[in-house]
Amino acid sequence: MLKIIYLVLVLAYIFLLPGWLIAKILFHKKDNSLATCAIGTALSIVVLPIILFSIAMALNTFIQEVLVFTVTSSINLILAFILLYKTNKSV
Amino acid sequence: MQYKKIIKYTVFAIVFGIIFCSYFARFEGPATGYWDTYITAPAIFMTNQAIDFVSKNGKSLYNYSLPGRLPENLVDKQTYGIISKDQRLGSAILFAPWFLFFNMLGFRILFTLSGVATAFFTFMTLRLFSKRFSICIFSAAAITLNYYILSINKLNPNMMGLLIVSILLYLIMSDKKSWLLIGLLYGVLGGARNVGIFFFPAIIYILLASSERKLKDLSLFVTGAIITILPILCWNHFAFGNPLMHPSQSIELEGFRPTFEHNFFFWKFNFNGMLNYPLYNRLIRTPYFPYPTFLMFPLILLKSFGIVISLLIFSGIAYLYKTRKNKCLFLLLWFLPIYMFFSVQENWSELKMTFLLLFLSPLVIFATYGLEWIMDRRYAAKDILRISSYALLLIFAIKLIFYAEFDADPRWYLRFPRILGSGEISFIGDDLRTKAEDADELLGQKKDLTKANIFPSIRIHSIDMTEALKKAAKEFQQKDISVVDFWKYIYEE
Repeated sequence: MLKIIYLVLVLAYIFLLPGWLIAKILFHKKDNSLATCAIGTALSIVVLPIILFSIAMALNTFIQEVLVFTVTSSINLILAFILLYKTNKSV
Repeated sequence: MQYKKIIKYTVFAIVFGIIFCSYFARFEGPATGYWDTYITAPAIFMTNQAIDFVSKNGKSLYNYSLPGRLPENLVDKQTYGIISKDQRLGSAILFAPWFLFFNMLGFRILFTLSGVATAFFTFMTLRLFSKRFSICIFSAAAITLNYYILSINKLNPNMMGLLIVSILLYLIMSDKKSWLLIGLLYGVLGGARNVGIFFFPAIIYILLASSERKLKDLSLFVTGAIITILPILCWNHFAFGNPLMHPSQSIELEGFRPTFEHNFFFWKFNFNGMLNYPLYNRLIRTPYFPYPTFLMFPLILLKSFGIVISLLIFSGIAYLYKTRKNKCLFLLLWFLPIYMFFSVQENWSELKMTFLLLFLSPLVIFATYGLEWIMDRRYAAKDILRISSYALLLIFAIKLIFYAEFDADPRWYLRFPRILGSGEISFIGDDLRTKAEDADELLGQKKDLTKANIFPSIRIHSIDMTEALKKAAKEFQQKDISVVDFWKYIYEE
């Protein structure tokens, strides 16, 4: 049971957080949080695996937990900075 | 007001709950057929997990160890060959992270998510123009719980295609468009389904028609598409020797693939597929199917959605053309090129029929517009008379098709010579047959397809969540898997 909870949290971090950030950047002026979060999540589900696959090919490795965490964290950080920049700009 | 909101949220939760349960319980499990085996196997290999490929008698076929890197994990010419076989790699890539974290359960989760997300994005797309919650929720349910789609219970690249198309259409039809993201998604769609190329004219049309900074948006779209299609082109180069190679045309794949002579006006060419008239000298149909593909698509859609919804589609096209011409032309451009492309394809199968999912979304959008139009109108007697006459005309046309006769394609039996043999491939239920076509079976299919049902057909399947959860718990523990090497029995001598 603990393993399932851990995995759900991991997945939430991997998919929901970058998803939310992507969507916030795209639609940060729109007041539709459900749609915003869903678009970002869906984009993460669809686009993130392709990015992982290409990075794995470039690094001559396979798709593993460490790679997923590293790539997702990097994407999250970059997106967070873009969001910060955009929000400041709009303010 | 508050009371209405509660009802809306309750209906929303119930509909999406049913969709979730239907997809979660319906899923048969990974690697039980042909297409899903060649999605499952590469997805697992991408995480450096080996698979025990077995014969139909359960005997291990190959002894190998994975090199531990991509893309080398995916090709071993001495044993399992090119792991995705003639399937596209894109869908397998989407499933790989889910397998990594949830083992075999990952396949069930993404299968379920694809259904739920497709319904959600269809709902969101329809909400862009319709203020009627009931119509939007009905259409979202129609796209994911219709008679046809409920027959799919295995991993299918066209289901992933439908999901991506739903997101794409939402992003394209919303006012604020991000062309980079649309490009990224389009690239992913191209990697999962190469026929995504036929959506290119539609996307370019709407970009040119709606964008105020055309060159910038076009550059963003193309950049996005290149980013996500590039890994697939690299894979094609590695596996098939040419970045633009369609897997089915690769000589690297073992198996019997004869070519047949085709012609287009005065141009003659040989091709290992089986195309229909005008690229072949006469109009034919694939054996086991009563009609050629160009009729099978509309007949299956008519059977699934009925005369009423089909008329709504036509009404929606007319209404949309009058009110939002660009959007109408965009959706028609989405639908028509791909339909025309498949219209001349034979060598058909039940699995290939699922390609219709790729153009289901525009049809549902048209039908919703049609419904919206009808609900906005006050009917005069002449309107009712006109709609009734269209319905009668459609029923008459469908009934007339019953009497149409087409010759079975003689090339098919040359392509699959083992079909008429001893029946040793009988366990491949979803792609190949074991005996010659049967006249009674064909007649039954004809009757079924030309019934001209007024209302949508209903397929009821049991949703046993207790059983599904038991399966899910087992799948969560399971990382190793034995897979029947389906390919061997389809193509090898």
